[in-house]
Amino acid sequence: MAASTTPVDGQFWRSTLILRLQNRNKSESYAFKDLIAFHNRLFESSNALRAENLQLSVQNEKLRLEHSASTDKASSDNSGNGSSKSPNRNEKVQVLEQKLLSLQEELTEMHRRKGENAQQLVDLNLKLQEKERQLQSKEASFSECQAENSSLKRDIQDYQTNIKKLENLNQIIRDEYQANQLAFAALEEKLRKTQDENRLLVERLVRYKSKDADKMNEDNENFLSGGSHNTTSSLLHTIDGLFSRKKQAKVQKELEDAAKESRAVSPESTFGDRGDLGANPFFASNVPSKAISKFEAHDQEINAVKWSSLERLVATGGADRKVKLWDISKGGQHESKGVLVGSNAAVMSIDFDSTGSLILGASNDFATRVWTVSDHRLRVISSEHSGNLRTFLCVEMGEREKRARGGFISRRFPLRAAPAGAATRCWSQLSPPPAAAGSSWVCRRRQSYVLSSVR
Amino acid sequence: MADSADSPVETPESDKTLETQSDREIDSVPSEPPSTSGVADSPSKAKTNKIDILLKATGNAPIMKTKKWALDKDKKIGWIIDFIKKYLKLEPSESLFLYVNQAFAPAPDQIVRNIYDCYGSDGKLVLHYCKSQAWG
Amino acid sequence: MANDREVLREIWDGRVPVCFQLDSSEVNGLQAPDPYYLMVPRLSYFPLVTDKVRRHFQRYIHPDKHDAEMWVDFNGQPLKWHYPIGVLFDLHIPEISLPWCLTIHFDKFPEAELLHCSSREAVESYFMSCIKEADVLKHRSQVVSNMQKKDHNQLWLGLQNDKFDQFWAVNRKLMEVGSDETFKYIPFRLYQGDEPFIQRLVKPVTEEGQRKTLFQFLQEIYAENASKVKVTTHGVEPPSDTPLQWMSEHLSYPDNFLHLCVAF
Repeated sequence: MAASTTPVDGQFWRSTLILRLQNRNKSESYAFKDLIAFHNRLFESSNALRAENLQLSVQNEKLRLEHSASTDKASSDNSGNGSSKSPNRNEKVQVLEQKLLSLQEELTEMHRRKGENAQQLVDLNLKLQEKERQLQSKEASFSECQAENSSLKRDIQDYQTNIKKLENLNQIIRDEYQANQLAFAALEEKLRKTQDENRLLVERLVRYKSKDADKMNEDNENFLSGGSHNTTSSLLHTIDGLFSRKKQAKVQKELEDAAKESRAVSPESTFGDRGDLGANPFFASNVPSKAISKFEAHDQEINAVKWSSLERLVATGGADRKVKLWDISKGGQHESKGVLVGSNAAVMSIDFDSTGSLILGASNDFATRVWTVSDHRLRVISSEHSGNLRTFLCVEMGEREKRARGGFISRRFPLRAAPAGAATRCWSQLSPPPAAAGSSWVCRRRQSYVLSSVR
Repeated sequence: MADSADSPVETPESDKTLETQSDREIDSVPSEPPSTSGVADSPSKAKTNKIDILLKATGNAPIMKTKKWALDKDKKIGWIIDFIKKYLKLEPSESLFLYVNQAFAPAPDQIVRNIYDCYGSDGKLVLHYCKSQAWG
Repeated sequence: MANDREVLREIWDGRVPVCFQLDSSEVNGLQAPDPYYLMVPRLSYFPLVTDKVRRHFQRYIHPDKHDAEMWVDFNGQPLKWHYPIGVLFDLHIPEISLPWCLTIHFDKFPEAELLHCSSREAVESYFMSCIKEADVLKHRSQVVSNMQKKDHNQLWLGLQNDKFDQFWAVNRKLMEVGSDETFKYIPFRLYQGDEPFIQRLVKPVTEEGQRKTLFQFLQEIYAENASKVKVTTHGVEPPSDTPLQWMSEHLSYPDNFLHLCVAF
């Protein structure tokens, strides 16, 4: 860059300055520059040489060592016992050999250990395999046990169901037994009745016989009296009377025997009966003309009235959906014993059972209900009428039918509804009867029915 | 110097430092005459050898209760730095930077006179101090 | 504008021969180390050029001191590392016979006289601080604050690696003048023996608008003693009629200050 901008009058000071600077550089810088550069070079090279020297001396030392080692070896190899260095060498060699030996021993030791370790490894592997096998067998047995367990559980279940079945069966058998008992009782009753009848018949026979005997006696007397009129006839009559007396005694004896026989059949005495027989024909039957008691039982019309068979209870069923119980035992008084509720429509028909403890009501709501008389609780509802139940026809029952019905109620078999449109249908808990036998309870061993007429 | 001890001080709270300053001034007395001998006597020089410095904290540095201090012009910047450190109870290892004009950090051996001559006015010099390099 | 490349180049190329010697009391061992000779740039700082020296002498000192801070003295006077080498040299010119023999120390660091220099970064931050201060004086800090970090780095690396073009590519911006062709103030430091240097606000032009010469400048500082004053910078005595503005542009050290050594 030229000093173009420097002022003209500045040329002098500037040139002076430059000159001085140049002089400065000449004296300070240039004079020493080469020298110091040279010095630095020398310094560096000397440093480098020093380093090299060090390296070389180290190398030299190494080489010398190697050399001496080799010569020693050679000398020891060559002379063996001769040279002065050889004992030293030998010692060294011995030391080294010993070291080698120990190292070899160590090596063999290591090898042995390695072999042991390998053996151990193999053993452990075998053990592991065995354990695994054991584990597998354990698992198999476990699963077997589980299977067995489940099968046993199944068995238990089966047995339990079996037990239940058996219990059911037992129950049925018991029922059957009860029914049989009932049948047996009924049969016994029948037998008694038959015996009574027999007794009555025997009595009648005895009576007739004695009548005959009286007649005969009368005839004989008549004959005897007639003989006086008529010798022959009176003689005859006397003979006849003689004979007839004999005959009479004989007949009397026969009759006594017969009476004895009949007494053997029936415990009741023939003679006691004779009085009864005399009273029996005198029953007074007159038409009721005057009401003992009159009361309003229901708010609406009364559809059904029923006497209880045991107590002096009357049940009424009304259009006001109620069944009411009345005690009329005290003459003209009446007393409400309870109101049986539950019907949703007018009660059309009611009936007591034979024991008087249950009451059955048929309602226009298509349901039939059973209450207990003692606590007025609703026991059974059969609401399966599909028709409009107007009348409930469930009337008389024999002794054994009533008992059977007790069984039926106690087992709480549901009542079956009659399909709509049928005039008369049977309800059965087991099977329908082959033919409905009128409006009555029928019990045939294990079958109970309620018959109702449906309009 | 006797005159420095008598010199009027506007800041009463700086009494303590005044004492320490005067102690130290006695040390620096012998160096004074030669320095002034060559330099032309300025009227201000004759009047007083003291100036006020205003110390302002910057950045994260704690604030000093007393900002204004009367100071001998011959003190070095390093002395002020040490003084602030001591005043703020900083660890010796902690660094503290002083800035002039919020622009540059004077060398610790720079004397206050030079800084005041160039950047101060009316007997006052504003210095900012900081614990990290601010305008660095 | 600093465009007198011839002068700048001469200034840049200024080197001084130095002979470093280890303090004999610190030698650890029988053999004293050889002195280490080096050409050091006047514009540089000691911590930037003494790496090799340190390596060389480290071998001869006590191992405990290997990592200790190295410092330099001349004739028993510790040399401040934060002054450019040229300034240190010029300060001691009367006593110096070339090469400049300096003593290296690793022990007994003179805490009172020297600042610690932990690393090159300490030098860099001091250097940059000087540049900023100079710019405050010259341009009210306008130029430096508009520079980017990489420009700062380039300045520093140019100085550190002795790269004239690299340095001046950025430094010329710092030497730019405003519309009035001058700086606001001239950044300078006047050294005089052991005294702390003097730094004042001095304008490059007189009140009449004339460019100040070196002599006028000295008059401003030293009044009637100005004629007795002998100013040295960069190892030379600039003519007293040299314009102050031109001096600042061309004879400033890399830290942008004119470092003038004064003797009577």
